[in-house]
Amino acid sequence: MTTVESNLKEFNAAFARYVEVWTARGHGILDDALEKKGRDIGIRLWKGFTAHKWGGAGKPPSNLARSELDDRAAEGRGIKVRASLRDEYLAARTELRNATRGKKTAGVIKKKIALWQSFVGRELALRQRGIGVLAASFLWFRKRGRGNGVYLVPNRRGRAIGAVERGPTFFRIIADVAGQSVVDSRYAIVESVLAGATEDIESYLKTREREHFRAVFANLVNAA
Amino acid sequence: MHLSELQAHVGKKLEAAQALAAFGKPLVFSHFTDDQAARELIDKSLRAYGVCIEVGVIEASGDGEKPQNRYSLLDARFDVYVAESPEESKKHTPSDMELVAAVATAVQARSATSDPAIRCIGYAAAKSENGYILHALSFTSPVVL
Repeated sequence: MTTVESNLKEFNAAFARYVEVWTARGHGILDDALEKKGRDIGIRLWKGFTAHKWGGAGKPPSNLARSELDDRAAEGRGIKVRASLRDEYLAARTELRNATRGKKTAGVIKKKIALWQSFVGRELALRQRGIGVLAASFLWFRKRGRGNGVYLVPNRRGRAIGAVERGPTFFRIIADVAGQSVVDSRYAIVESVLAGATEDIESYLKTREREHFRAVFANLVNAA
Repeated sequence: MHLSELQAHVGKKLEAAQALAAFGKPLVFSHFTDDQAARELIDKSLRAYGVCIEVGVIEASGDGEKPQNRYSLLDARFDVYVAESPEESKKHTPSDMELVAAVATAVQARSATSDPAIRCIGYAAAKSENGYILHALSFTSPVVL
């Protein structure tokens, strides 16, 4: 899990001032401001992480995993098949050996090669499907959790890979995805998102002129 | 025109505009004015005329790629705010979009060739819960430091 403290204090200070003005303008209560800014940061984090995903931002090329395999083959390197697939391959290879025991024909050899190639193909397909899913996926606030202000983000197998916690005075985004902290430390994504969100808040607060008019309008009603 | 002169120049143009003569002297925003004092001036204008016109703070930026000196042109940007009262007793002419057009015309008018070429580049309006309307006109103008 990554915890960023670097510019969180500046953001929190700006957010405190934002809440004061925002609630004074009648846009809502603290809870609403937390929800609004929390989601804003979630969206910015999503954009930040997906911009650095494998294959670049936007829709990944359909043959990215295959082209990487071709590059490795050109260098004389093979492809590593994940452990679960490898176990399955070894079991299938044993079956094939038992079925073709004593027969060393060209057809049998071709079958053995094709068996391995089929598992390489499955590995490629899994890698291609997984492109873009990694670091940003913890931001998919799709599923409600225990109904107590906790929103869980499950992966395809139902394991929670992230969560959003809401409390009366806080909004917390939690990620538990392998490699996410590596991506963040390389590109300082969280820090730049917080800096951008702080800047937005500052520009909202900057227009003193408008604030004066708002205060006068409210006062004129009270006087009347 | 120098950056330091622009805000006062716009204020004078608004004050001199015939169409806006009924609304008194426009306000010129200053960071050095106390918030309470600034609000009292707006309040006074709205109670007296039903309208308050204020020239906002000036910001400017230049092209960071090119070499600059103090005679280089900067792009100044500022807003002019026009507040209108909805009260029947404060009915005024011009009002609403005619008032906005009169303000825009006054700011952009050039009475001399030395006047800067100010252009209106944006407009927005908002209405308060009690019916007061705040128009915000955005302008840009070339200036030198």
